[in-house]
Amino acid sequence: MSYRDMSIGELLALAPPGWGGALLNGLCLSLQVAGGGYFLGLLIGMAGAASKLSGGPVARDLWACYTTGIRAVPELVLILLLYFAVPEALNGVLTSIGVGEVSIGPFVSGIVVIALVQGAYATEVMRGAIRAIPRGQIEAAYSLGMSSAKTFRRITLPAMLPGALPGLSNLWLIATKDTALLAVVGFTELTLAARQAAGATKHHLLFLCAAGVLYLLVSLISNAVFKALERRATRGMSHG
Amino acid sequence: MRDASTMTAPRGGAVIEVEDLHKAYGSARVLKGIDLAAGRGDVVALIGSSGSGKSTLLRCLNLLETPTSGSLRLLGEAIPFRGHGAQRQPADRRQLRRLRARLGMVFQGFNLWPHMTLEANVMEAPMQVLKRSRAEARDEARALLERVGLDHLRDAYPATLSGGQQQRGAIARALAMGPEALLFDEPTSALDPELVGEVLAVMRDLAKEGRTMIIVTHEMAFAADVADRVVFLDQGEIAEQGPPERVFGAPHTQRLQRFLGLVSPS
Repeated sequence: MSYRDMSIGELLALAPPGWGGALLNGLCLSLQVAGGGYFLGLLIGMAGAASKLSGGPVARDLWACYTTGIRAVPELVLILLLYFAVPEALNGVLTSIGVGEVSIGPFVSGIVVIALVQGAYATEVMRGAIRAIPRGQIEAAYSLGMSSAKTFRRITLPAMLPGALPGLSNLWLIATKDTALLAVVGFTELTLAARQAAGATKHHLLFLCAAGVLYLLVSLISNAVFKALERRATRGMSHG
Repeated sequence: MRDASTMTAPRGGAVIEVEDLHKAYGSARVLKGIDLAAGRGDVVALIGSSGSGKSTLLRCLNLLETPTSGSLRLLGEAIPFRGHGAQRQPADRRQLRRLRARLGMVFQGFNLWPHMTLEANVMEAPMQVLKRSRAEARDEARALLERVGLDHLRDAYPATLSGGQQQRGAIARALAMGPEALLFDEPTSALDPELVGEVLAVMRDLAKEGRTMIIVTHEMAFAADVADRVVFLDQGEIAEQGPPERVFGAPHTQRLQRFLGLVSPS
């Protein structure tokens, strides 16, 4: 049976010889890497925003180096660095001290790169949103005896959300699409899966469009989710 | 109204004691050697023109501003500092939180938290700081909101309330901690004139129950009415102080006379 004679339905079928299952598997991997990287990126962003706003001068400088550096270097370069260069350097050190080699798989390096990139942008998004909170709301928390950690968690974070969510929802969409860059290190996320399907079947238009539609669906669903989150975060606020 | 002899030695132990307090921002000296004490049950009004340092002084009292020098005793405890100049800060964060929890503050801009309902605003600190149970905090919050006349608005968000309602809610939030003293930073200055009365009425009530209150205010009639002692600040110094009838009725200093001439008690 030749791919040339198969209908669109048969080509996209979940079970082989259809490639639908491979595409969905790729989508799953993409979402896992994007989700993991995004979540870690948010944590980095919170830490970064907090210390850029109220940390000591050394901490502020270190975070500035991080956000400037990461935002200056193309993500593709970061992926190649982490996947090829870092393990090489690491293993050079490890073998010289007599410890065995380690290898960083594409899944882990994908999450780490996306987390680093997202963290840098999220730091700036959250820093801006926190700065927009009237200072008095934070002073009110302090005046009632709340610690700075508690104030950050209970007051600053929720009060900054309306200002941060539009930026953070953008970052999530970027994260889902950044996973496509992992194709260069042979990670079969959605884009590479679609290219393999297209290459094997010679139905390039079909499979690349199918991948596009899947990315679009992810965007549409994400948008709906973020809209709902924004509505919840701005509950009770007359503007926003 | 208490007589003048109780002024220098506050009865029942000092709640707030300030000695030779200075505050400077760079080369701008905002407070230049303030001595002030408030005893339990005292109502002290801080008056003075804009820029006289009265708000800065009030903010030093719960250390939202760190004094540049001078000593401070809150609720009988001396506050240790560390560092110098702009780096100077209270040395014991835990003590600071403990004392702040016992000193309520009401701000000019209300500063209710916009992401919480009125009731949640009032419940927040008792639950987070005093570790009250939710049920306990809610009962307390409802009683306080009723007291300030806002029980029907407990599920409203701050942005939907008038300034007067927000400020009464902010007073309920401060009261929820059971504070031993209340600091008011121009509580009616951001309000439309027709809303000032409802906030002053709540404050007058609090003064009547013998609460210790330090009030920065431009409302001279109110100060004359509720304060045991009026402190007039001018250019970072206490220029004159005394019982309201003397401060407003027979001001000694030219500076106070000039100030009262500009802002006559209406």
